[in-house]
Amino acid sequence: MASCALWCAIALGAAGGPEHDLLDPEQAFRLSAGMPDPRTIEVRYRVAEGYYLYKARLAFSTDNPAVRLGAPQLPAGEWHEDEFFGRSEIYRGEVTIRIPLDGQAAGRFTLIAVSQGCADVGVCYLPLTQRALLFPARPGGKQSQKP
Amino acid sequence: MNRSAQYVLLLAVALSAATAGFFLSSQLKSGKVDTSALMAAALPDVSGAPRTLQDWRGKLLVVNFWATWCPPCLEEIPIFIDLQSRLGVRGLQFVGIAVDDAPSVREFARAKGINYPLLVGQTGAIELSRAAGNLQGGLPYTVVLDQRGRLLGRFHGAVQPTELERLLLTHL
Repeated sequence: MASCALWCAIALGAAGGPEHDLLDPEQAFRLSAGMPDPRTIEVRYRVAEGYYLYKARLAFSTDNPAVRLGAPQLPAGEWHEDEFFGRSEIYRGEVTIRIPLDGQAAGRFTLIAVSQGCADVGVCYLPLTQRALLFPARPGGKQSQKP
Repeated sequence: MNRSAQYVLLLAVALSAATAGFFLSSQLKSGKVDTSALMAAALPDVSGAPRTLQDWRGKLLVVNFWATWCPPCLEEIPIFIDLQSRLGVRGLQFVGIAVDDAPSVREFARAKGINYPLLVGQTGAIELSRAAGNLQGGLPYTVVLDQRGRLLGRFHGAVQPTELERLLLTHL
């Protein structure tokens, strides 16, 4: 009986599982951003379970040429291996990236973040462009995200 | 536990397992998808010449959306090469639509000996796949169209080779 209950649970779990109910990329790779100080952008990705982002395919820019971004401080990820590209560094879960500004932003601007990731079930998403509106004038400026 | 209760449990297990099996292998989906945009759209092939799927009307078509930067896409290409090689004479036609740039696709096709036509596009290609039922825009995505361009099945993610071949043999 106990073993049957176990098997039933496993079978029902598999049946009800979301094996092929893929998340939209915006849900799989949630972006938020803020400015802890006027010279630093903090970008946070919350990567849904079963999904991952390629570290090397992250790119950041702004809609304002006057706001110059320094080199993003990308934390170490975990290693992922596939037969075509070998070892790649990837991010799962939550990752925070700090981007220093060269100088100081004078007004609000939009951060443009490009990322590319995959789902463990064997589906890769197109490069995803997300935007976050930033207000450097406000200390600890609150982020907002535009689709 | 009495015998009838055991039967009920066994039945529950069997049904659950069958349902699980269905879901686990249910990448092959049909459903209502309007394929007219897919059939009508023009995309360049790797040499730059504009093509539409109408060029292969009358064939059983397998349209595979893929990219050279997408590992799960690359894994299944040898399966497509094999099927095209074996079933092409019976009226099967694979067409790859790469969400990519032409030089990368050309180089990959040459290196792997891809034996079916490849069309190339960026945003246009992925919008086409969305129009054909790939709502999340994930790759690979594969649709099977009958000789009149009507949808027979579609795979989100890698195809199930036996399931695909079974479907193709049914319609050749």
